[in-house]
Amino acid sequence: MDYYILAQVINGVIFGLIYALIALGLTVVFSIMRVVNFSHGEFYMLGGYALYALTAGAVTLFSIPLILPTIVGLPLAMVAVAIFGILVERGLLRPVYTARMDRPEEYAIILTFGLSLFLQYGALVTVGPYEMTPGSFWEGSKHIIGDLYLGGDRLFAAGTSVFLIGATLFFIYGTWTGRALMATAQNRVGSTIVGINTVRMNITAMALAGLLAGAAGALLAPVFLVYPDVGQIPVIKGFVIIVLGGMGSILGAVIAAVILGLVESLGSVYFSVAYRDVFAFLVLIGVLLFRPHGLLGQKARRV
Amino acid sequence: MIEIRHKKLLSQFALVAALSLSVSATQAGETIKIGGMAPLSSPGSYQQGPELVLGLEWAVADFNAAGGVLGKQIELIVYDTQGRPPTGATVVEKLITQDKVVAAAGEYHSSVCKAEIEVFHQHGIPFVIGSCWSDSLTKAGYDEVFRTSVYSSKLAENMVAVMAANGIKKAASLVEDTDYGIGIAKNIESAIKKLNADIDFQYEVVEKTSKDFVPILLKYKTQVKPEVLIVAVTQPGGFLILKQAHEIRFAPSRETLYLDGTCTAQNDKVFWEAVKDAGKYVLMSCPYSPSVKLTDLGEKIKERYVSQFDRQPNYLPLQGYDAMLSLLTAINNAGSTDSKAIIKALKALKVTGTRGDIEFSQEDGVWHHQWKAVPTFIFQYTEVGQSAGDAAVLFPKQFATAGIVRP
Repeated sequence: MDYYILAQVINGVIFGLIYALIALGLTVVFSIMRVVNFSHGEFYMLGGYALYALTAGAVTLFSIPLILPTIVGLPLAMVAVAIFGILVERGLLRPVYTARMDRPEEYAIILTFGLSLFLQYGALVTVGPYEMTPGSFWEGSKHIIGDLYLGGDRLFAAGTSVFLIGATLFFIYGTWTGRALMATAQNRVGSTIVGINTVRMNITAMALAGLLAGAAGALLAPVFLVYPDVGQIPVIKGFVIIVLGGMGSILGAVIAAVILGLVESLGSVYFSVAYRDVFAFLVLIGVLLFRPHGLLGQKARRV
Repeated sequence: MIEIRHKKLLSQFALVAALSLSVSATQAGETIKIGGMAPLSSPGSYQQGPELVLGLEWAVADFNAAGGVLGKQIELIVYDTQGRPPTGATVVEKLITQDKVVAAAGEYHSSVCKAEIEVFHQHGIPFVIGSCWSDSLTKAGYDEVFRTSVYSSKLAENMVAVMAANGIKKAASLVEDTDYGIGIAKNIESAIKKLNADIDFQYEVVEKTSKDFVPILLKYKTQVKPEVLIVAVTQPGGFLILKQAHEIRFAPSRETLYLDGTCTAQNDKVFWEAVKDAGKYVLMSCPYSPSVKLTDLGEKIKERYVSQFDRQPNYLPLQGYDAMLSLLTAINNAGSTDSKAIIKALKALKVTGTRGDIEFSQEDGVWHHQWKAVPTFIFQYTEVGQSAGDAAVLFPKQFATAGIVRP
């Protein structure tokens, strides 16, 4: 394989893994709660700002500037966004589901869309419009192969993504709570009958989505900076990925993310970089023409 | 007890965000209404819009403090155009038909300006462009449209002149998918022909909202191998390109210089916060130099900015101030708020702005109603964290303090 193509493939896979992390939270919430969370991009943004606040010395706590190591800031940022996710579930989404209204999913979409705008404009007014960069996870450029160097932070983000994707898959498929989540995703009424607390599953799903989005936002903050609308494009890619992978399929989302990363990377140089963000939609249309339920989605009947 | 440090910066934004509503110059009584437009929210360059609006506001405040215009206070009505051409056109229609402004100034994105000038032209209302650089705006030849900001072909000629003077034979560019971005690439091509420079130039158009530019940068690094990479992508895209070019060890490097064609690097504190050590050796093409003495008015504006924000201004508040100053002076000179009288006064205008003596050319083409002598500079940061005022001036020759430094 030509070295130049190899370099593009490596970058594509790395970017795909980063996409996967963003898409995972979306797919978890969708599969469990049937909510298309339009504010997921802002959860991502909050992860970045949380890391910045904890590590860059921009925030003082009792007159002492907070300058934690980024590696310590990462889990704290994840937890902060997870807590925010729980608050959103408790304060905004649960009332919709417990109000016995028709079409709660549609109300939830409008709610999350409103939340997205609120958070974006809130960040603009409170934190300001300018780009911020928290400290680095892995400083400098790293030699990959031949003449290919990539940023240490980008590599760290990709490596951590692999770990977090693995941990999420283990949690979903290998633990009782994960199986209960899957059961809730498949049949909410049936799950209730067998004793699963579906409200608790909703909380777990939102917390998990917050953890993953917070991780993505914090990990990518040193790579792509943090600013109020930083989550806009990633969340659109996330939607493409979950549809491409098969709505609700976690493994499908991971595979779709890597495919998308590769297509964008190779398409940018072999077709045109001007249409980089269009490739995602071309792939989506192509796959849906032949597999309307996505790569690993299952034809299912809702109960 | 949590306290955020960026208070000054924030208060600036909060102030300007509030201007989506109207800024009333007086509590009561008759006023002269002037419109202002700028991107204040996504997907527009909301980092730049508030800086431009600040200049518009300060000019209005100074006129009002000195007794207003034609004995009346000025009421500035600013709207957010979000960087969207349809929003720009709608906002201008509203300013003219509902708010009844007699003239307007401002705007940052060329593509938005392009939509806006059509509405101004249709209604015959004068408009002084704040900071849209595309040549096509003045080339349209509309009687109502004037420009105090720099224009793309002038910047392109400067960049080509610097490249030719430094023996650069191969240049590549990444430009954003807007009128400004594509315009500057085409202007560089034209300037190479016009100046008969022996430079092999190619460019690629990128989506300014993209996050990963590594694929195209890898292509440039391994296959094109330019001696200079010219980037005409506004922030945050421009900052990301610089970070990523640095990460893959492409530019700035001994082999490949990096030239920021948007001048976003001039906002030094923001620039260094975002790009850290990737910014060392970056060249930038700008319509203002903090190290070159401004007019007395310009120095006062600069001092006011530094005392308020604790950092050097970039070119935008100055361009905003100059646009509004020209407009209000023309209304004063016209002795009337009639559109035709204001346009006539703008054509005959001679006023000392923040960066020099402003007058509008009556020639055709890109110079139609353009301030031809608008200053432009090329600088280079040679140290990490360097202030824009300490950056080496490379162009024009009479102000040059150094030659290009390579890593």
